[in-house]
Amino acid sequence: MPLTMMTRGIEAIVKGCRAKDKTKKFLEGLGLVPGTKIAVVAEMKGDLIISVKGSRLAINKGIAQKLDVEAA
Amino acid sequence: MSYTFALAGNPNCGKTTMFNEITGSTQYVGNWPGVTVEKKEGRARRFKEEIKVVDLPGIYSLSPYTMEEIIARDYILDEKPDVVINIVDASNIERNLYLTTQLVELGVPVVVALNMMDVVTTRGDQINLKKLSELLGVPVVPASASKGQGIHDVMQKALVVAQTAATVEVEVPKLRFDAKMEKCLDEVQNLIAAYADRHHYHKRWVALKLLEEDQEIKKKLDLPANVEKDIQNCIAQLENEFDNDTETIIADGRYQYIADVVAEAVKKKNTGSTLTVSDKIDKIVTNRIFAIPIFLLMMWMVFRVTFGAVGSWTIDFVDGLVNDTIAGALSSGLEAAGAAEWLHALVIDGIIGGVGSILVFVPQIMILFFFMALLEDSGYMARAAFIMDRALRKLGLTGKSFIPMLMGFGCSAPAVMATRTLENEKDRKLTIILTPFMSCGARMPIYLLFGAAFFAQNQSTMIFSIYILGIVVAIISGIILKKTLFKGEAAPFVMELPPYRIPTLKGLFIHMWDRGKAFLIKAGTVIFSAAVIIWFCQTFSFTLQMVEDPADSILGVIGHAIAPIFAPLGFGDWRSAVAIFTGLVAKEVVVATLGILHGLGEVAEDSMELHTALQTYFTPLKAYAFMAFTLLYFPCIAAFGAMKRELNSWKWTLFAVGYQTGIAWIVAFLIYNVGRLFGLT
Repeated sequence: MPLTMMTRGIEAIVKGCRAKDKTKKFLEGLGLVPGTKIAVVAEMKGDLIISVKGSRLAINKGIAQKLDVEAA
Repeated sequence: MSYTFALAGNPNCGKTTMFNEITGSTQYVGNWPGVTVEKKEGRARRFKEEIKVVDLPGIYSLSPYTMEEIIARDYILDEKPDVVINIVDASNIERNLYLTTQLVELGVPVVVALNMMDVVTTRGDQINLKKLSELLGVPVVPASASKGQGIHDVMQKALVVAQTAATVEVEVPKLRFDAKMEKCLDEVQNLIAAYADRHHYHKRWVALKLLEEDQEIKKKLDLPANVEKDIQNCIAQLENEFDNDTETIIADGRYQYIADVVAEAVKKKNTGSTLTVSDKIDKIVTNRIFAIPIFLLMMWMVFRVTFGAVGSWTIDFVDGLVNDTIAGALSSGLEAAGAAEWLHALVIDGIIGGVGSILVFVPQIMILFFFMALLEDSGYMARAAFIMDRALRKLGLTGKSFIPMLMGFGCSAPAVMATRTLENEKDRKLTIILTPFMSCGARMPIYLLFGAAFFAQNQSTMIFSIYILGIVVAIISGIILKKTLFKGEAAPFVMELPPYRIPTLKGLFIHMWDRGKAFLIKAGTVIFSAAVIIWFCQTFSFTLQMVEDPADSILGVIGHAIAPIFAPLGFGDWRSAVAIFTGLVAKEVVVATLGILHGLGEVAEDSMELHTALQTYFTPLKAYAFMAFTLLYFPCIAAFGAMKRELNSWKWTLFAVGYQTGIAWIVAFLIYNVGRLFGLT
């Protein structure tokens, strides 16, 4: 399911990313690869702050929709 | 012997702090990604050896997807520094080691500076340095740059590595991928060995990049078609087997290796995902109800202090210092020395007048930059960008455009330079075009002058409305340009949020000074020359005769020639035309020019004589149209230069300033003529 559907505070595991190559690669550099455990820290109208490998990333709704996750 | 060390690391890893500590130069310490996109160099202090230190841009990986990544990569590959010092944020080690795994593959000696060890210790985590070094295959030196600890050790280690590099083989990277991937890597390495050697590139690294379908490397190697085809076959085979693209497979392999390294070398006290203090603050400041009010309150406070009582006090103070104390002393000094009248006029009216009118605003700009530094260094600026993303997206911009735009209220030139943090070219261009509409500090004296002369009753409201006008014009322009020249969605917003921290006063002042310096230099160079030239042009005629009436001077003639352009806007007299013309140099010059041309010599914007003089040429409506025009037209030489540099295209730069000036004319025209329709004067 897309990250947008994830409940806040619950951990999830990245399954894949449907963003454009360039964005996808950038996200990989930030730690968002399949198998990575993430959690939603805060949410603002669909835009998210997520916790990835100890750092915090702000991503907009558009990206969140393209990240597929499953419950951990 | 002389050596070159390059500093590489993620944004927010403390690289700039480290660089400042090593080189002793005082530079910008910031929070958002890409802050050091300029190549900064320095010499290492406290070493006998000549060591050049190059600060590479902050990057998350070496893939060629952002300008910063390409800059860093090309530098390491082509300039071949003796050592790459990789600064790793120990408190965020997994993510940071991703870059490390890529740096090691380049075949250049790497020393890992494990920074922010103080944070790790406070958390109660433990890192086995020896183990980490073994597993990574490179020396690891602990440090805490913000506390000034370990920096010398890092440099010492790097120096030893550099000195022994010739005799010691660089270790082969320890990272091994899946067996199938390794097999393909071997095949590709054999295919391209000759081509990689020609560029002195590391074979394994080149092979990896080719499997990742890295276009930059392909271009550089210029492989024959049959080799390319073989590589494509390898890629297809891998993608088929793993059911994913090769880039992701490789990225995944790196993270798996890192996870193993971290599992062996790092002992975490707390593995659970508890909310940190930063998270708790973020829950409040990005709350769907409170986010915008908190943001507006912050901005309101910044502007209140900068442009309110504190700001105006500093203006009065510097004004008194420059225009009374210094000008007075110089004036009597020159008279006592028996200087010629023209020299007296040049120094007092021309130089002190021109440069003084800017110096007055230096403290105010510094205050604004101080608050910017506070917002950045504390970590809030990154959140503000996040909060504003949604709104800015409607204008074809992203949250990252917010930072340059906010800086635009201080000075357009550094604001335009700050657009480098935007990775998407379209977003960057649009932000550069719109940023000068944010009214910079230099335009303030114009509003203060006309506000006092024509809107004595509601001066602050009128001035505030000009600021709003700039924002509104930027919004409308954004919407128009998004629908025409800059079609398509803005880049998706992805930004690392550094943990909140209490900024150090030293850091804030370094940061403030770094930005404010540009403004001072401008006052000392561009404005100084402009003041002298303007003074000359309004004192002499084209035949180089000193003129009695400035209307006959060079400027007077130019003014008469261009005045008709501004007649439809309500201010067609030649003095206003000249002021607009000289304002091309810098907006501060507008006020100085009006003062000089009205035969009052140097005046401050609160000069009663100038008010009276202006009232004979302007009405309140014309004055407002003039204020709007000066807000929106061609920013200034310094901003123009910055725009040219950042847009890297004459076509776009001329389009930008042409658009701005065109909009200025239209808006002033509408204000004047619609105002008249409504019976305003």
